[in-house]
Formats: sequence, structure tokens, C-alpha cells
Amino acid sequence: MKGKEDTIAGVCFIALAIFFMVMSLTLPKGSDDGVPGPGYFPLILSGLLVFLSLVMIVTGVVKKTSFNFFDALFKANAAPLLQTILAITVYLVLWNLIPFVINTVVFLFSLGLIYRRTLLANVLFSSISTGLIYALFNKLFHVML
Amino acid sequence: MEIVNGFLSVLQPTTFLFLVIGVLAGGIIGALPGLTATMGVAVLTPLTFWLEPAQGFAMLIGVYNSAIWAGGITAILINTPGTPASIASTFDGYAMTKRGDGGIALGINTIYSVIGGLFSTIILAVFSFPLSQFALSFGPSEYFAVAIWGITMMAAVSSGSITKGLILGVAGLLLSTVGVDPMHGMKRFTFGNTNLLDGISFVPVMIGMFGLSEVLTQISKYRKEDERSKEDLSKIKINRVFMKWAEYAVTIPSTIMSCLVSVVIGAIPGAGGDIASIICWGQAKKMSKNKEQFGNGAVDGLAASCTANNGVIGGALTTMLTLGIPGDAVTAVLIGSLMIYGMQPGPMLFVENRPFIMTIIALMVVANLIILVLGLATAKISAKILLVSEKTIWMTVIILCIIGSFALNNSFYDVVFMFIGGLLGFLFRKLDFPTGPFILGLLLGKLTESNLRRGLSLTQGDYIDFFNKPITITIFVLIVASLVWSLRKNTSTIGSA
Repeated sequence: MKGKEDTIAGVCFIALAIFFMVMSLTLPKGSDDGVPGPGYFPLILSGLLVFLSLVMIVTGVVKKTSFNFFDALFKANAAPLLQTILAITVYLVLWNLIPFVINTVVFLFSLGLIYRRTLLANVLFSSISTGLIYALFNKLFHVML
Repeated sequence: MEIVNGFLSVLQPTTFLFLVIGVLAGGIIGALPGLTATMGVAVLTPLTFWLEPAQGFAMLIGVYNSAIWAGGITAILINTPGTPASIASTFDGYAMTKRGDGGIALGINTIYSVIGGLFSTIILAVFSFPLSQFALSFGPSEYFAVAIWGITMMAAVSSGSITKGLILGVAGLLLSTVGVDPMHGMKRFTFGNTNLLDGISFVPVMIGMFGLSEVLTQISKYRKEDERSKEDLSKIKINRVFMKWAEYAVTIPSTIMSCLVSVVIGAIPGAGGDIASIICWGQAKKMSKNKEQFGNGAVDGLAASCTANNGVIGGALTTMLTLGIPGDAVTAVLIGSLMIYGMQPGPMLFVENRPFIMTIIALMVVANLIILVLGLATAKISAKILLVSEKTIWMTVIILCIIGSFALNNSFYDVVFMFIGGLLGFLFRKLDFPTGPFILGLLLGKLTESNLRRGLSLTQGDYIDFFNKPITITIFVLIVASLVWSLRKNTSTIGSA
């Protein structure tokens, strides 16, 4: 089905808008003398988002202007892309569990493996850049790494 | 006298050093295809957090100006624009390189980018103060209209569908409502999480959307055969960088036109160097006696596009500093940087931080002079920048995005926001959604909401009273006009496709 990417994206935005709309309805919308409350602005925006998403879905289907997102994503260079996202996720999960220097060296080394860098270049880059980052942010800027 | 103090501040050794570092970093970022000025400023912002505002902004202004200029280097040498703003420089620049005039083309890129940058700085210096005085008279209604204009314009001029731009603008505004309500102090959409009380952190999301998502996009497109080989780069011959005087004279009309047009385009919210350079190149072609030369190595064509690249910067900064509305994506990021320094762009900045405005003007002038010296001195070796491995850049940007976003507040939540922003930015790009309006919506959300609600409180909920102000009506006419223009443009593009 042509336009399916726009349809999927549109449905996601409508879901987001409805979520905010329902939550906004639980907030005060304003006083009797016309002063808007905390629920007023998000309610207007979520209504507008639903309307625009519907316009996008209809336009995408009628004009068949959308491209195949899933082909663009998965046929191009899917393995290194997904491995990079996975490596970042693992790095962040281990953030508070492993000392920063070890975690970062391993993370950068794993990225180097994903991108098929030579072993020497990978070892040098991951160790030197970790040292520089630690020196700059922790020692100079006093960031609690 | 104030401007002299501005220059004295810039010429302080530390500030000057950070400006030079910014220009050098921007030169590398701009020259490498795929790395944009927006990304450079976003990724380096956390590094400047630890500096004095003048020093931090020196680095960012250096990156901004230099990256836009350096984008022309790859446009000229390998027919690949380093930044979107240098697209039009490929039209004549690459043709000049092919005929053996690559050095002259690089010289034109440097000299005319600096002319555009300096002219736009003069406009910034002359017009920003009266404009800020005028903006001081704005009330909630006018500010609300200006914020909506900014988001609408960014959606209207973005590539792709205007509906998608508007959707992301509205989504950005909607997500900006997370946190404490700006008028009543009531918690909204926080789900008991104290980290959400201050709302969704703008700077980490911006770093993710412009930094991490850019790298993910490059990885997804990467092909081994596209790697730049040392052999190919060694074939590029760069001889003299200066033209003859008569050739410079040919470029005068197109340069003047480009200066004037680009600074106006720069001042329009959302419109950046890419639009300016293409429009100016087209206008220069119409004005030229040698129209057939355009696209085949016309010096006045290249001069027009290079002038326009950097000519937008002063205009974009004027809108950003006086109204608090970004003129382009880079200035959207710079607003976030100013907020980190505790400054809110807008007319009050000219009252409360007038010396800082003078410093910014002086920074623009000195940055352009450094670019002039650097560009002309390094033209012959500039192709060497292209030898930097893409993989090194990806790894550097990824780790800087992570550590930089953590360093802002020593907060792991900021890293999570950055990562989510990066993934969303990547998906938006793949689905052909422009990310600029989303960032702008997130940035301007609180300003838009508080002015709308404050204005309606003053008029006791009367919408006609709220909108019935000459400036507000004028701005809304502009909003409708820009939407109609954009829809017509889209319709004609689809029709001609």
C-alpha cells in the first residue's frame, strides 16, 4: 500500500495526541472569567495534531507521495546501524554499573569493531580518546564521570 | 565606545584563543560532507558551558561562521556540499576545479564568504538596536504571534511536506508542556518523575537530533565504494587563489545583490543559507551578461552563492537576538546555548546585557577576519581535510554527544533524552520529516503558551481583543501568506515532477 509510512507515522502522532488530550482533560481548563488553565494549551495542541496527522494520512494515500521507509532503513546498511544503536544502549545500561574509563574504552572499541577498523587503529583510538575525554571532562570540567 | 569595548573583550587572549579554536573546528566540520554547522554548534555547546559567556560564545560563533564558509571547500573540490548552505557553490565551483581553477574557486569562496559575513554583521550592528527598541513595545499577543510565525516559517521553508513540518512543530510545542505549568505552577504529564519537573531538556534533545541522528543517518547510507581515496584527492590541482582585478570587477553587481538579499532571507525565521545561496545564484544569473557561463564555472555565479552563504548569518542573529526567534537551525541551537549562560534572547537582552551584544558583533567581525587569513593561507592544503576517516568522525561525534549531554547537569536523564532525540531525529529524517520545526516548537513552547494565556487573562478570555492589535494582525497575515506560498510551491513541484 502506497503511503503506508505516512499512515503509520500519522497513527503514531494521533496516538500521542490522544494521550495528551486525555491527560489534559484531567487538568483545570480555566476559570469562569476567561483565564485559561494548565489544560488549555495542550488540549488545543493535541486537537491540532490530530487534524494535521489526518491531513498527512489522507494526502499520503491520495497523492502516493511517500517512499518505502522500511526499504530505505533495512536494505541500505542495516547491520552497522542496528549494532551502533545496540552498542549505545548497552553502554548506557552499564553507565552506573562499570567504571567510566573501562566502559568507555570497551564501548569505543566495540564501535571500531562494528565499523571494521584495523586492530591497531581501534586500540589507539579507543584508549587515547577515552583518556582525553576523562582528562577534559573529569579533571578540567569536574564532571562526575 | 561600547563597540570598542566589545573588540577589546574579543581580543582578550583567552577569548581570542577560543574564537580561533572555534574557527578551526568549524573549518573541519564544515569541510567534511555530512557534518553541518548546526551539528557542530550542538555538539560543542556542552564544552562551552564551562567557559565565561564571551569565551563560550566566541567558540560557537567561530564554528558557525567557519563551518558555513568551509562547506564550500568540498562543494568546489569534489562536487559535494559540506553543508546544505553550500549547495549552490557546486554549480560553478566544481566546474572551475575541473578546468584547473580550483585555487581561484577556493579563493572566491573565502573572500566572498567573508564579504557576506562582514556585510551582514554591519546590518546586525545597525538594525538590531532599533529593532529591539521596537520589540520592547510588544505585549503577549505580539510575542505569541511572533513565536507562531517562527514555527510556521520553519515548517514552510523546510524541504519536503509542509504538513509534516507543521506536525513536528505542533508535536514540539505539545512536548514542551511537560513539566511545571508556567502560570499556575501545576505539574503536568510528569507521572511523579521529578526529573520531568523542569520539562524535557531542550539542549540534550537538540544534541541528539542534530548530532547523533546525523551520524546514524550517515551510517545507514554508508557504502564502501564512496570512501574518498588518497589517489583521487591527489589529482586535484590547486594553483593561484587570487583572480585578476578585472575579474573581481565582474562580480561587484552580483555581490552587492547577494549581500542585500541574503541578509533579508537570513532575518526571516527558518530560512537559512541553502535557500539564500540558491536564490542569489539564480538572481546573479539573471543579472549577468554571461548567462551561458552559469553552471559552467562563472566567477560571478560562485561569488554570489558564496556571499549568500555567510550573508545570512547577521540577519539570522538579528532576528534571534532581538525577538528571541531563531533565523535558522543554527541560531535555534545558539538560543539554547545562551539560555545555558543564563541569558534569554529578546529585546530585554539589549537592555540587560548590552555589552554582550557588542561582544557578539565584535566576535562576528574578528571571526570573519580569521577565516579570511586561514582560508587564503590553507587553500592549497584544504583537500587534506577530506582524508579524515568517516569512521573516526562517527565515533568522535557519538561519544561527544553522550558525554556532552551528561556534562550539562551531571544528569543521566539528559543522556537518555539525547539518545531518544537521536533515534527520533533519525526516524524523522528517514520519513522525510524536517526536524527544525520540532526543535523550534520545543524551544518556543513555554514562551508561546505563557504569552497566549497571559494575553487571554488580560482580555478575560476575549479572543478578538487578544488578536486585534496591528502588529499581531500583520504577523498573522504573514503567516497565512507564507503558508499559501509554501503550499503553492509544493503543488507546482508535484505538478512538474
